[in-house]
This record gives sequence, structure tokens and C-alpha cells, in this order.
Amino acid sequence: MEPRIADYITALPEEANRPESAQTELAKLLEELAMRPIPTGRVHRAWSLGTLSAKIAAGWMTTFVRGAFASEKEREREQSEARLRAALTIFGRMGYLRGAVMKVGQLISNYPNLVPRELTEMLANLHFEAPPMHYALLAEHVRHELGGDPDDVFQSFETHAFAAASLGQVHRARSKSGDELAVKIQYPGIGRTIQADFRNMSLLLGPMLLGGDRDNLIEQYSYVRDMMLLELDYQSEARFLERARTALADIDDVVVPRVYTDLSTGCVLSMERLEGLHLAEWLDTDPSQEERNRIADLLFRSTSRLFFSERLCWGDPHPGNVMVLNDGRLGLLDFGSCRAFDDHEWRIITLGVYGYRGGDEEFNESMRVACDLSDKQVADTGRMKYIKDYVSWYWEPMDKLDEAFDFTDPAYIQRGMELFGEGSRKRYTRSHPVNLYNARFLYGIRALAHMMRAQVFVGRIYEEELKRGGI
Amino acid sequence: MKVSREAKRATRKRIVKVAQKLFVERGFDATTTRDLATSADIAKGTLFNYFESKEALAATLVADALELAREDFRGRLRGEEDLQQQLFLHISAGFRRLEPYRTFVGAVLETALSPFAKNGVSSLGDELRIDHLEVVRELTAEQSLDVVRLHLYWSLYLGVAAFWAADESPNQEDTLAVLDESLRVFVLSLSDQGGNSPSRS
Ligand SMILES: Nc1ncnc2c1ncn2[C@@H]1O[C@H](COP(=O)(O)OP(=O)(O)O)[C@@H](O)[C@H]1O
Repeated sequence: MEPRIADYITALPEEANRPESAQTELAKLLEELAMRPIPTGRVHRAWSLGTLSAKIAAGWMTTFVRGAFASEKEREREQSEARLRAALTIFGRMGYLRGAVMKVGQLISNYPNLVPRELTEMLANLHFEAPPMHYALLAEHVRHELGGDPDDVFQSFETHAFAAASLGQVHRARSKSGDELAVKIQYPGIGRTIQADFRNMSLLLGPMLLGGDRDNLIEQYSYVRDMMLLELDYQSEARFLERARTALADIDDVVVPRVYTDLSTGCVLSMERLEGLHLAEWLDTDPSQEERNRIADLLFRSTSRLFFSERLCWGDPHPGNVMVLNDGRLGLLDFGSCRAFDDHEWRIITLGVYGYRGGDEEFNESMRVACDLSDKQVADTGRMKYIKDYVSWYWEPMDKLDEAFDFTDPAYIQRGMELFGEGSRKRYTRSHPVNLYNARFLYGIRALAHMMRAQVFVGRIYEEELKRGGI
Repeated sequence: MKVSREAKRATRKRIVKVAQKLFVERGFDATTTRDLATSADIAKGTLFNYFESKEALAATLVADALELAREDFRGRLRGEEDLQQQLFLHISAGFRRLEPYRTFVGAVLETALSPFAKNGVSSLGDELRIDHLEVVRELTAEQSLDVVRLHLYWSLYLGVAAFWAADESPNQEDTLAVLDESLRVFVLSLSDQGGNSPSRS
């Protein structure tokens, strides 16, 4: 007999019904969403319907979030729940999230005693997943977008994709001028569908989350949403690619693919094709320590140049987005979730830098602004110590100018993860959402360096790049 | 005065040409039979000797376009497509040829191609349907379509065509998604028959 949703709901741990807990989980979920690695795997499984799984997942989520409203008046609670159910229905129908929803559902079916914490971890790994396109569909789509069949617009165009992208797929092609291209193409209409779904979700969840201490959550939710929506527009990605390319032009041995604007639209992105190995594949070839150091050095140099001189955060430092080209250069891919900081955000970031360099007084003052703290919170020594630890962890690799920092030791990365977790647990997470970006970037780059077992003169690189950026 | 067969054919051709021009330029609704007759240099009454209504004229345009589309379709086949892709190519070749007529395809769907039309009411509509399904039968020869699958296909096709005619999404990208999903459903339904399960590339 198929298990009933109610069975699972009964099995839900008591703890999830305490409002404290639910809200912490939600905060954590949002942060983890921001940190989520976007898998580049080629898992393009066929779209199959898993309604039961989706329903179970939805049932659990309802119960889990219900905890957040336990203290409210019955009627308001019921209204919130109705909204939530509607939101979850939309969620369950989002085909491009179906793989993820099913994964959650399956997991719950297998482990009905699962605690919400693990559930949120699963949800944090949600990623878009478009159905595959066959060539006939793709050709029609390209014709509408670029004004001609692939065979007419390009000198040649491979009918089978060589890589999967989250919203579509990537094809090899050659331009009329003979350049080798990678053409990334979105499944028709998927961008608008996702936008519409998110709008509906916001409409339903917005009034529910409003009020009191939840403001910060809302702000973070919006941030995460904007970040995800940014990935939908290839034109915005094209602009970031061009900016990054220009900014990195005088760092030898780093390549950001050139964009072919004439062959690109909001859902078709034609780029110079980089030939080489993805980071993990490259590491499998057992490169020497020297080589690994060289690549890691280039990675730190180029991303901090973007960060401090361009105020551009390469949003998705993921091994699938780093290539070592056949000629030994470093290739950076995927500027879809790039973030350009505005003046206000930039001030918050630089405050962090100045705060660390100054004394205690100055530190507290800058953190008050950067983390959006109240007087009471600044007076909370536990909280301030936590922030100090976090910031020190951040700066540790930069401390020594003429010594390479060794990322081989997993302890450093682990400590960072623990600090991050502690912040969530103690609900110290209230901070300007820009820090979400910052953190994702920061962990990402360092995790890559660890993966490479690299020794990098981080201190020197940062010193030079900070100076260059006028900080 | 006796009108020769030659002259009749020439007049008919002229009317079709004029209709094509006026429907596209002025729009189907805004074009009157009087406009058509005047532009074709014939009396209004004469027009009806050739076509019983404006809709019938439109259906002729559509039928001609679809005939060309069938040739396009055969030309575009690369020989590596699976069934779903072939069906997609067939339908999208039709949409390509019908593109200039998109605004009045709805009128043709309502009259000549309506699923409520009894057999034989519009011979042109019947012809259109038979020609289209002939290609589908050929492509699905291995599965030998029964009446149920054939009807399922035709319903999906008319549905997609109606969607396309009214699609306001940028570049009609939603039509592509609807067509893709519809054909996926159709091809999946074939594999339920216990025949070949369709492969997807
Ligand atoms: N310019 C390029 N040169 C070579 N391969 C590329 C290029 N752009 C993308 N790819 C391949 O396509 C994959 C997905 O591209 P990516 O931009 O990461 O997609 P997404 O939109 O999912 O972020 C990459 O991991 C890589 O294998």
C-alpha cells in the first residue's frame, strides 16, 4: 500500500512545530540556497511526473512551515496555510525543479523519520533543470531568435549538445568567420515561465512572511530570488562576460570567452569556445605542485581583480566553471550569476576591510553597519566575538605577505564551514544580504584551492589588488 | 461568351494571388469580397463562381502553403531523426509556410478544420486533414496507428495550431514548448501499445 501523506506528517519530529526552530531552518535554507553549488552534471533525465513524491514533499513542507505560525491567531494561521498550500502547488508544478522535488520526495519516502534539517539541506540543492531539446526544436528556436536556421547563421553547427546547462544545452559551432564557438541555448520560454512562477510565489508568500522579525528574511528571500532570476537572461550574462574580459585583459594566461553579440539574444549565447579540461578532469591528470599553484594563483589573481577593481563578484565558483585550457591558460566560465555591487553594497564590503584593519572600536562600528546590528546586538559580546572570529578566518590567508598559504589542510575550510553553521544556529545570520554573495564567493574560491591542494601567496595578491582597487 | 478552361485557371490563380496580398497587407477581417473582386478585376458575382466564401479562399491559401511545406519537410530530413523529431519537423515546416497567414489561420481552423465539422462538409478541409495524416501514417508506419491514436494526434495538432495562431509570447516561443510537449505525449502513447518504444536523442 502506498504510504499516505498523513503518515509522514505524524512522523514529523515534534521539534519542527516550535516556531523558533522553523524560522531558524528557513533562515538557514535561504543562506544555503545562496551558497548552493549549481551542478554542471550531464544528468538530463527525461521529465517524468512524480506527483506522489511531490505531494509528500509538499505535505512535509506545509507542516514544517506551519510551525512558524503556531503562535498566531487561528484564523490568520489558516489563511497563511491556504496561501502556503497554493504556493506549494505551484512549486510542485515547476517542471524545471521537478528533478529536485522528486529527489526530496524519494528521500522522504525512504526515510520517513528524516529531520527537517536534512530536508532543508536537500532543498538547498535545488537547481533549474530544463528538458533536453532535439535538433528540430532547437533549429526552429534558433531561427526565431537569430533569424535563420543554425546551418545558415553559422558555418557549421553540431546537432548534438556537448554539455548541459541548467536552462538548456550547449552546442559546438563554427562562425561564418571560422571561429570555434560554444552556443548556449535556453529551452523556449523557460525564462518567462520561471519568472512568472516566482512572481506568483512571491505574491503568495509575501504577506505571509511580513511582519516583525521576518523583515530580514524577506530581504534575503528577495536577494536569493533576484540572484536566481539573473541567471535567466543571457544578455545580462553576455554583458558580465564582456566586462570581465576587459577587466582581465592584462592578466596573461587568464581567458574569459568572447561573446559574439550578433549571434546572441536573451536566450541564445554564442561564445568563443574554450578547449581544455574542467578543473576536476585536469586534477585527474595529476599535475605537479608547481602547476597547481600556478593555476590557483591565477584564479585568486583574476577573481580578486574582478572583485576589487570591477566590484564584480564571480557568483559561482564551482569546479565545473573553471577550465585549464590545452595551452595551459586558465579559463573562467559562467557569468550568469555574477553580481555587480552598487555603491551602498560596496560601502558595506569595504567597511569589512577597514574594520578588520582598525582597532576594537572601529571594528564594532563598521560591523554595526555591515551586519545591520542594533545597539543591543553590538553590546552582545558573544555575537561580536563570533563576528570577529569569522572575519579573522576570512583574513587569515592574507596575513602573511611573503609566505604562501597552504590550502592542502582541510582544517581551514572546515573551520569556515563550522563558523558559518554556528552563525545560522545562533541566529547571528541577520546581516545585509550582500554578505550572502560575498560568502558564497569566498568559500567557493577557497574550496577550489583546497581541491587543488595549492599553495598560494594570497596575502601578496590581495595586498596588490586592494591597492589597485583604491581600498 | 464561353470562358476557356485556360482562362478560368488564370482567373482563379489571380484571385488567390490577390487574396494572399490583401489578407496579409490589410488583414483578413478588413478585406471584403468586394476588395478582392476589384483587385482581381472581376465582378463580385464572378468571385463566388470560384470560391464560395472568403473563408474558403483562406483555406485554399492554407492548403497551398501546406503542400509546399510538405516538400520543405522532405528536404529538411537528414535521415538521423527519431519519430518525435520527424513529427516536429513536419508540423513546424507547416508553421513556417503559414507564418504570413498566422492572423487568419484561426478562421480556417474554425471553418474548414473544425473538429465539429462533419465529414464532407468542407472537402478542402477533408483533403487537408487526409494529406497531413498521410504523412503521419507514413512516419509511424512501424507502429501502425489505430483510430484512437490517429484521433489523439489530430486533436493535439489542431490544439497546437490554435495555440500558435493566438500565441503572443516573444517569437512564439511558447508554441515551440507546447508542440514539443504535445509530441512527447503522443509518442509516449505509442509506446504504450506494446510496439517499439520510441528512443529519444
Ligand atoms: N565558452 C565555452 N567554452 C567551452 N565550453 C563551454 C563554454 N561555455 C559553456 N561551456 C560548457 O557548458 C557547460 C555549461 O555552461 P554554463 O555556462 O556553466 O551553464 P549554466 O547556464 O548552467 O551556468 C560548461 O560546464 C562547459 O562544459
